[in-house]
Amino acid sequence: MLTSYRGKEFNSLLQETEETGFVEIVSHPIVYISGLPGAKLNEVVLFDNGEIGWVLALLKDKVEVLVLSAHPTVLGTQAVRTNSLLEIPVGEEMLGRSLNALGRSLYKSETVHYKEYRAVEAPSPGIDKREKITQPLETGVAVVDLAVPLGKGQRELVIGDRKTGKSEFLLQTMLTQARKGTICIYACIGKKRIDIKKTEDFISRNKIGNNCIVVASSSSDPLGLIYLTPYSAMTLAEYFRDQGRDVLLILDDLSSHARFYREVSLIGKRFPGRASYPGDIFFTHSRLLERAGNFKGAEQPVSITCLPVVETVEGDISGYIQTNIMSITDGHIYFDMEVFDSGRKPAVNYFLSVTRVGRQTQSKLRWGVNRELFSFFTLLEKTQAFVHFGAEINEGIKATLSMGNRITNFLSQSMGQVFSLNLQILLFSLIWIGAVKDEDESITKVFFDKASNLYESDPNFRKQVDDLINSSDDFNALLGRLAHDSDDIMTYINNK
Amino acid sequence: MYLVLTDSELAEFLDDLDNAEHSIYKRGVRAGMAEDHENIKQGENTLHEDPLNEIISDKSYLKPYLDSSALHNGSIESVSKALKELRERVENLCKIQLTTSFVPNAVFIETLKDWVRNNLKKDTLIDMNYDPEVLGGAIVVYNGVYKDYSLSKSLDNYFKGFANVNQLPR
Repeated sequence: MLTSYRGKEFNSLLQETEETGFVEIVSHPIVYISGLPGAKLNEVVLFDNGEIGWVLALLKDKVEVLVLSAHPTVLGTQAVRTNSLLEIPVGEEMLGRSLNALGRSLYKSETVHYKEYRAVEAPSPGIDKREKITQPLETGVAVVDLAVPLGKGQRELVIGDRKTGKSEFLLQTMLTQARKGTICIYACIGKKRIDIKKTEDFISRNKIGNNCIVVASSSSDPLGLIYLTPYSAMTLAEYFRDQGRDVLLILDDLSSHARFYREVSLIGKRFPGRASYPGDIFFTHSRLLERAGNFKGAEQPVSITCLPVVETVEGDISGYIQTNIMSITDGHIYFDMEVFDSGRKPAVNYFLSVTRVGRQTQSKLRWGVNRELFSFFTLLEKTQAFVHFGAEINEGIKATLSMGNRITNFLSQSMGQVFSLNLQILLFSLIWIGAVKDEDESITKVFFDKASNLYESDPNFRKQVDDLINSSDDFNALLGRLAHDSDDIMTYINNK
Repeated sequence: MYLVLTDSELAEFLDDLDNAEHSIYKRGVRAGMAEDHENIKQGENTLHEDPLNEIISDKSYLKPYLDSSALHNGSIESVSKALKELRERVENLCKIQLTTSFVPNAVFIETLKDWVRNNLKKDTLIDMNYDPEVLGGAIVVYNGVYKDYSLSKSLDNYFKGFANVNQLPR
């Protein structure tokens, strides 16, 4: 084990700082060190066995240190200050790799010399460095892009029970954005190793590794590393933001992060508050999420769009951590277990989902689509409730239910399938004007898949679709043009 | 008097302290000793066998460190209190760690202790370590401050200034 930190040996640090301390109390992963009179908060401490720690608190005659190691520290271990805050390496070399919270590769032992290091804890930029959010963020998932639109720089919470499709939605979003050149950073916080591997496999299978980074800590990793994971991921995001690149940061998940931090705090004898969480649990997450946003760049605005994830139990969105993060973020996408059980995937409950910022990024056309969609959903829900009682169905109700089935089929997307935003608007408009008549999911799915493949592979078709959408002032104008052109479009797609 | 001990003396000191605390209530009679009972019957003075008096006598190992005012009337309670205070002083010893290239002899240690008493004026524990790589001088750690006054460091600093052997002064 190397007894050095950032290239400096233990003995040379002793000579440099002329301070040392000895471990007197061990409550793994927290130790209390006597000595180190000049220790600062958040400073890194190096032990003579090669492990590093992080100063959590300065007590009257001891220093409280969080050890970033899986093995308990032995009493009497000597420690030395490093005179530096906890920093991780950053750089373009990180792209395509899986890292731990200290910026080291998860799988290969390598000696790479990084040019730049950045502090894991950094203050969030002030209001003078921020810009209004105006650019839409495409997720590739129709139900979100049309009903709960997001903007670049927005912090949107993804909340729902376990196994409701949250991670699948996040991977679809990452796929869409990585293909557009956005840097995507996926932070797996205290996850099972199999889940981390699934994320890595998704990235390599879709060949988007050159724009993606995975920062991961498994549930068996040291508590200190799990706690640091989202902060390290945010630090990497800030590096790429400063290079002028837009970044998508996914934090999966902050409810686990809160539980691990609670464990650290209780071991450190912090007074327990509500649900035994420490009093600073809100600040723990708010100072992290405030570092995301839309910022002034050298030539144009650059953004860090953050999608934190929170897991609920039995659909309870009124829990402590859930409501904390809802109040920090700019909206939430709610994955409903009832919707999931009814067979709709992604299981997004658009009535309970909120986007506080996304609507200001919409063009007039998208706004029109969104308005029509929501009006229709409201009507559909009332109609379905009405029909549930077995009342007689007239033609109007039949038409509404039929349209509802077709739109539901369209909004159901399988894992790994993404639609471009313009294509989503086109397909929805075709359904709206009645050009897509089939209600059988197997038939419409084939049609939508064909359209998607055509859009990806046929530049002429893509150009036509993009020109059609971009030149339409609003939804009614688009519908008017499609009234003439829909047959040609349908024929073109079906014949391919 | 300031309490200055080495780490090897600390264990023995604590043993003596334990024995003293446990024995002060045994007045004039050693447990299980039939001759003591015989002496008492015959009215012989057994005061010199009294553990309490042994602790407060001038020959006692602990007496120099005990609070003299507490020993004034020589009662069990006052001696017990003095022993408790001494134990607290032992638990709050300030520590000096000394690393040398030789194993110090008794004279050296006593000289060191006297220096600590006269200059630091604190109850102190001296932790002596032996490391031949020091070569000479000492490395001192006190109150978290680390000072390297060793010969090896001086030599390292001296030779750092020369890129190769040819540059060394002849």
